This record gives sequence, C-alpha cells and structure tokens, in this order.
Amino acid sequence: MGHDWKETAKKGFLFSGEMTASATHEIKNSLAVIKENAGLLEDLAHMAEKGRPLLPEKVITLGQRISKHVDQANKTITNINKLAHSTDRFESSVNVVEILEFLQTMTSRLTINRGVRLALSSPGKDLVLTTSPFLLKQLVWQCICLLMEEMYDSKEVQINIAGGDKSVILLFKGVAVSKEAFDLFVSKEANALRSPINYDITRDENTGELVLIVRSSSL
Amino acid sequence: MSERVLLIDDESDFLEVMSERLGARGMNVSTAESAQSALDTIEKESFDAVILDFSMPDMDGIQALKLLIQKKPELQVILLTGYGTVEKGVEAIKMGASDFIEKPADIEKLVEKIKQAKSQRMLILEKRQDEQIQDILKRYGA
Repeated sequence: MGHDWKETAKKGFLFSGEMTASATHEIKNSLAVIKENAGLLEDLAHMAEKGRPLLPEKVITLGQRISKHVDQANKTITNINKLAHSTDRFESSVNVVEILEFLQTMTSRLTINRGVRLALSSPGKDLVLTTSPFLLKQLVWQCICLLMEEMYDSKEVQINIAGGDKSVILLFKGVAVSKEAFDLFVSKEANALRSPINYDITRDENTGELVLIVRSSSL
Repeated sequence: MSERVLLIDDESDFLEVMSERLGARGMNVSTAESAQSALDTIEKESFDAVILDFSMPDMDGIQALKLLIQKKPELQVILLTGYGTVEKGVEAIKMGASDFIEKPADIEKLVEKIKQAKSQRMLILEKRQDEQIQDILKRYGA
C-alpha cells in the first residue's frame, strides 16, 4: 500500500497553523507593549505641557523598551519567514541544530502555556542532513507534544543532540513515555511522516525515553 | 472614588507600562504575573475590574477565569488577549467574563470598559445587599 499523503498534508497544515498562531500571538504581545509605551510617551508629553517636568531618563527607558520589543517581534517574524521558506524545496541541506533552536523559539509560548521548559544540549557544531526541513520540524514538534502529554512530575524536556554515522540522533531526556502512548504515536502521528523522512524512533524500555534517529533521505 | 484594577499578564513590561497609564487616568492598579498570584491577591483585596491575559504560564485564560469567578462571583473580568478569535471571546463570555478586548488595545476604550465593569459590580453588590436585607426583614417578620 502506498504512503497516505493526504494524512501527511493534514498534519502539515495543522503544524503550520499552530506555529503561525503562536508566532502572531507573540507579535501581538510585542505590539501591545510598543503601543502602550508610545502611548505613555504621549501621556508624558501632555503632562509636560501642563507643567510637569519630563525626565530624560524616563524617555530613554521607554525608548529602550520599545526597541527591545521591536527586536523580539522582528525575531519572531524572521522565524515565521524561515518556516514559510522551508517549503520552497521539498528537500535541502538542513542543519538539525538550527531546526531545534528554531523550534525552541517558535514554540516557547505553546510550551510555557503548559508550564514546560524546552532545553537543548547543543553539540557545538553543525549537524547537516539532506531532508525535508519543514517535515523534520513537524516530526520533532510531534515528539515534543507527545512528551508534554506524558509529563507528570517533570516540567522540562531536555533534548540532547549527537551526530552519528551519516545521521543525527536526538535523545529526549527526562520524560518517560508509556508503551501504549508510544505505540499509538508511532502508528498514527509519526507514521504520516514515515515515507517522506528517513528516520527511526525508539523507546528505551528501561527509562521510557524517546530516541529519534534521522538520516539523509538518500541513504 | 478611583477604580481598583487588577492587571494579570506574564509580560512584565506590559504590566509596568499599563499600570502607569491607568494610574495616570486615576486608577488604583495592582499587578500579578501569574494566575496563581492573582488568585492569592483577590483573597486579600477587592477589585472593581480584573484585566486578564488569555495566555498565562501556569494555566490557560479560561481556567484562570473559572477559578477567579469561583472565588469571587461578583468579579468583573475583562479578557485581554493577542489570540483575537471570535470563538475564544464567545467562550470567555459564556464562562462569565464581562468583556473581551484584543491586544493591542485602545487605552481609552479599556478605561471605559473598566468603568462599566465597576458600575456592573456595584449593581451586583447592591442587589446582594438588598436581598440580605429582605431576608432579615422576612425572618424577623418586620
């Protein structure tokens, strides 16, 4: 039986929607802070007209705060632009470390809302594969979502990244996934990406932790 | 008398500037950076209006709204959010929010909504007081 591309597309749309909603929410938050700081500058100018002194250090603080939130919004826009361009070509050279850093930033609102911190242990070098950048982001995010579902005491997902022989290994530390949840995940969620991405996912029988091995598509 | 407002948002820069702007408009503003901290605050103080961000680190806005109203049924909660979907707004109103505003909000519009919330709260409290008086009168046959 051929690969179910309809299911892959459906999951891809969901992922795009989730990332876009999270990014626009972040942008709106930054815009709200910028708008209120601009409004406060206006308030202070009106008060100055009525004789209340306008303190230069106050204006500097408000300017710095506006600048900080413009930078934050710009970072979010750059990320959403990266996500959009990751569909330009189905496959390309992908630095897996960059993908994880992207997900850490893009999903921060979604993870924080669930009281979860996403921690990365960087290998300190690029780990490059030829694969679909969009679908790889989606696959890793699906793994993180499974871990968040399975979290009880722990509030942190630690991802250790290591370069293997023509592959990249992601070790999801600190969360034990039940066998039932893992089997369901493999048969439903991850299966939609089985054909487009060359990967294996396993569950450590002793710890319940997930291990994702991603290889270049040509291998 | 000035309106007493509780601002709940996990963005400290937003809390700081919004407090200052509402304060400049004669309001008495307290802040909370988490839903739990807000729940503790409403135990100790009373507020004419609560401005609640939909997205909090310790619980979602709807859950926070439910718990706030459960503790203080007369509380007037205005949801302020970056999500901006009609569905979320309808859901919030159904759950007991008094209003729903999208971020970035217009300060004068927000001030107006706070004043409306205060009037609404006063009506609820007056009604409750009237009911208590009626109940006492009935019990003592006066």
